Amino acid sequence: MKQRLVCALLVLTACDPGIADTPDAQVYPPATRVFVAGALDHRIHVFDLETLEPVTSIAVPNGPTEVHATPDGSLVWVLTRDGAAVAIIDTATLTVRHQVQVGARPTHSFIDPSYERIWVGNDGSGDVSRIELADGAETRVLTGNGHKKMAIVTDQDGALRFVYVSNIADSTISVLDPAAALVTNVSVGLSPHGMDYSSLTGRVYNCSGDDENSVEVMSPDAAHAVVSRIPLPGRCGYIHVEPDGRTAFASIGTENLLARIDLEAETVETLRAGELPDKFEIVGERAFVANVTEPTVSVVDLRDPTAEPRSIEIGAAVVHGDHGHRGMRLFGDRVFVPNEADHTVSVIDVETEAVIATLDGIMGPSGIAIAGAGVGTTYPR
Amino acid sequence: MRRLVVLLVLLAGTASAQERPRPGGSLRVEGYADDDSTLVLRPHVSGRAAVDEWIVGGAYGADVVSSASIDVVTRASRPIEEARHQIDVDAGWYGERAGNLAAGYTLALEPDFETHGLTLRGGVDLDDERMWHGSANLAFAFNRIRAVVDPTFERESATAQLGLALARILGRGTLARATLEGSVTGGFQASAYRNVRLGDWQGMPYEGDDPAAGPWVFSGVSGVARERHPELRLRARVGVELAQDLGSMLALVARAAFYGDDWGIVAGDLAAELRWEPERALLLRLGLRGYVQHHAWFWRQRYASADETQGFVTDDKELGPMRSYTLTLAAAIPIDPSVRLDVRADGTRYEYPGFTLLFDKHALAVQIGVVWTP
Repeated sequence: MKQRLVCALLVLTACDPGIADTPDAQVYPPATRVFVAGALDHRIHVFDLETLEPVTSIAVPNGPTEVHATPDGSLVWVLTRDGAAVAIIDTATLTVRHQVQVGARPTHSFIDPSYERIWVGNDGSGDVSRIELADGAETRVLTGNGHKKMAIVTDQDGALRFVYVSNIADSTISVLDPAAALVTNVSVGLSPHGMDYSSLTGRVYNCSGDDENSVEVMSPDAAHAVVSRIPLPGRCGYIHVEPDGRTAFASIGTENLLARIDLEAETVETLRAGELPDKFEIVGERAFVANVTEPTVSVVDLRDPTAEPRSIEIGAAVVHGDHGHRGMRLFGDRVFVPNEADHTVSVIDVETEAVIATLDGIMGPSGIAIAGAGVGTTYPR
Repeated sequence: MRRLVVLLVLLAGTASAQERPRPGGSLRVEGYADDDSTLVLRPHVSGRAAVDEWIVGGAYGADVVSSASIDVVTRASRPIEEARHQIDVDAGWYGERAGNLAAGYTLALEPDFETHGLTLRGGVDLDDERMWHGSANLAFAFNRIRAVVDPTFERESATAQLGLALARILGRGTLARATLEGSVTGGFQASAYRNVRLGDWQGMPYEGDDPAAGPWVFSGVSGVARERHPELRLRARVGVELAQDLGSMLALVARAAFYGDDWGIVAGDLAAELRWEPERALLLRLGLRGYVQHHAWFWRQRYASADETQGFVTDDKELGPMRSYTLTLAAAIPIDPSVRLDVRADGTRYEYPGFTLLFDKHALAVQIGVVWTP
C-alpha cells in the first residue's frame, strides 16, 4: 500500500508518467536519500536511495540514535541520546541547521499534524520537548518517569488534539492538551510501552503489561479512560495502526509472535514470527519483521496464520542478554534494516525477499530515515 | 600545654586541633560498598612541609563511584560511573604560644558538580595557665551544579560557615570541649535529576521482560513534579566532647551533638570511642556512634499534590526520618620510627523508616594508609 501511495504521489508531483509506468522501473524523487544514524561514529551517513552509494556524512556528536524526516523531505531530525539534543538537518544543504537542547536521554520523537513541530520524549528527565522545526524553539512539559512513546490524536480534520505520552516507569500515560496547556496523568497497566492512534475508531491503543498482557483501549472522548482491554498472549512492545485505521499489528517479543488486531471487533489473530520480533513493516499481505536475537528478517504471510515465516539472512543486532531492539524502514520496494553489531545496514528487496545490498562504513547503525517528498508520517491516520 | 594538645588531638573533632602539624606525607585508599549497589574507591595522597614557623601542605583525593542504587534507578536514570576529584592546599602559621592561623583552598570537581572552598581557621590559648583554648574557623564554599544528562542545566549555591570551639582541661587526664557551628546556604539545593511522584503510588521491582522498563515500576501515580527545595537553609549544631584518660594506656572519648535547621530537620548524635595504646605508637580504637533524625517539614512519604507543601517536594531519603548506627575499628601500627600503617573499618546500618523503596542499608568502609613523618 505504501508503495502504491508513494508512486501515486510521485505521479502527481514529479514523476514522468512514462517512466513510472514502466515495469520493473522504480523511480525516486531526485533528492530522496537514506539517512542512517551512526551511534558509535557520531555521524549521520547519507546514501543515495537509488544507487545506494554514499553521498556524505554529517557530524552529529553524542550518539545519534533515532532519525526521522519531514513529509516534504526538506528536514531530517536526529535525537542524540547522550547529548540531550536534537539536530535538525537541512536535506538540501546536508548541514545541521539547528542544534536544540532537550531533556535528558531523548529516545523517541513524533511529528504532529502541523508538520512544523515535533514532540520528543526525554526518558531521563521525565519530560517532553516540543520543538518548532523552523527555528528550533523548544518548550518542555513535565510528564512522568521512564521510557516514552507517543500517540498523536487528531480531530476529524486531521488537526492535533492530544499528545499521549507513555511513562513506562510510572505506569501512567500523560495526555498533553496543547490548546489548553494541560497535562493529565492517567493510570494504566504496568509499564506502558508502545502506542498508536486510529482516527477511524477514535481510540488510542496502548501496549501494557499487567497480570494479563493486553492492549489497553483509551478514549480521548471519555476523559482518556481505558474503555476496554484486548488480551494478548504476551506483552507487546510495539504497536502500529495501519493507515486505514481498522487494523493494528503488534509484535510480541517473548512469544515470537506478530498479532493482527481488528480494532473494530477488538479481536486478535496471532502469526508466527522470528526470534524476538521488534519493528515491522506491512507490505500488502506480508509483514517484514525485524528479529533481534537472530540475524534475520521474518516474512510473515498475513493470509495464512499457520504458515511458518520465511527468513531473510541479515546481520546481527546488539543483544543485551536476551533482549534488545532493532529498527526497520520501508520505502518503495526496499526495506532497510540496521545491523548494529555488524555495523552495516541490510537492504531488502520486498519483491524477491532477498538482500540486494549491504551498506557499510557505519559504526553502530541505529535509526534510519528516508527523506523525500511524500515520505514519512502523515495525518490523519 | 602538651597534655592539652594530646587530648585535643585525641578529640580530633569538629574544631581544629591546635598541635603544629608534623611534616611528612600519607597515602591512603578506602573502599566503600553497600547493599544498595554502590561501590566507591577513594585514593588519597597528601604531603606537608615546614618552612620556619609555617606549615604548607597539599592533598589530592578522588572518589570513583559506581552505583545502581535506589536513588539512581527510581529516577529512571542509568547506573552511574563517575569520579570526583579534590585538591586541597593549605598554609598555616604556628607560633610557640601565641596561637596559630591557617588558610586553605579546596577545589572539587565532578562531572556535574564543582566546588571552590576557602577556609580560615585559628586558635589561641586564652589564659596564662593554658587551661583554656579557643579556636574558630570560617569557611566559604561556592558550588556550580550541572546535570550530565542536560547540558542546559546550570545552577549555583553558596555556603558560609562559622565554627567556634572552646576547650578546657578539667583535671588530670580530663578534657572537655564545646563546639558551636552555624551555616547559611543559599541557592539551588535540590537534585538536578529527581522527579517526585505524586499520588498514592506503589512501587515494585519489575519482573517483566521489557528492557526499557528498568528495575522498578510504579502504579497509582497521579502526576509528577520536579524536586524543589527551599533556596535558603540555616543550620546550627552544638556539641560537647569529653576525653578521659582511664589509665593503663586507655582513654575514652565521648561526644554528643544536637543539630537543627530551618528546614525542620532536628538530629541527635551520640558517639563513644575507646582508645588503647598497649605500646608506644601502637594505637587501637573501638568506636560506636548512633544518629537519629527527624524529617524536613516539606518531606512526605507521599504527596497528594505539590501544593500540599507550598510547592516544595523532595524524594531525598536523607531529608526524611533516618537513623544510623556505626561500629568503628581502627589501628595505627608503627612500622619504624617514621612510618606507620593506619587501618580502619566502619560498618554502618542506615534506617529510613519513611522511605518506601529502601527501608535500610548496610555499608562497609575499609581504609588502609601509610603515614610518613620523618
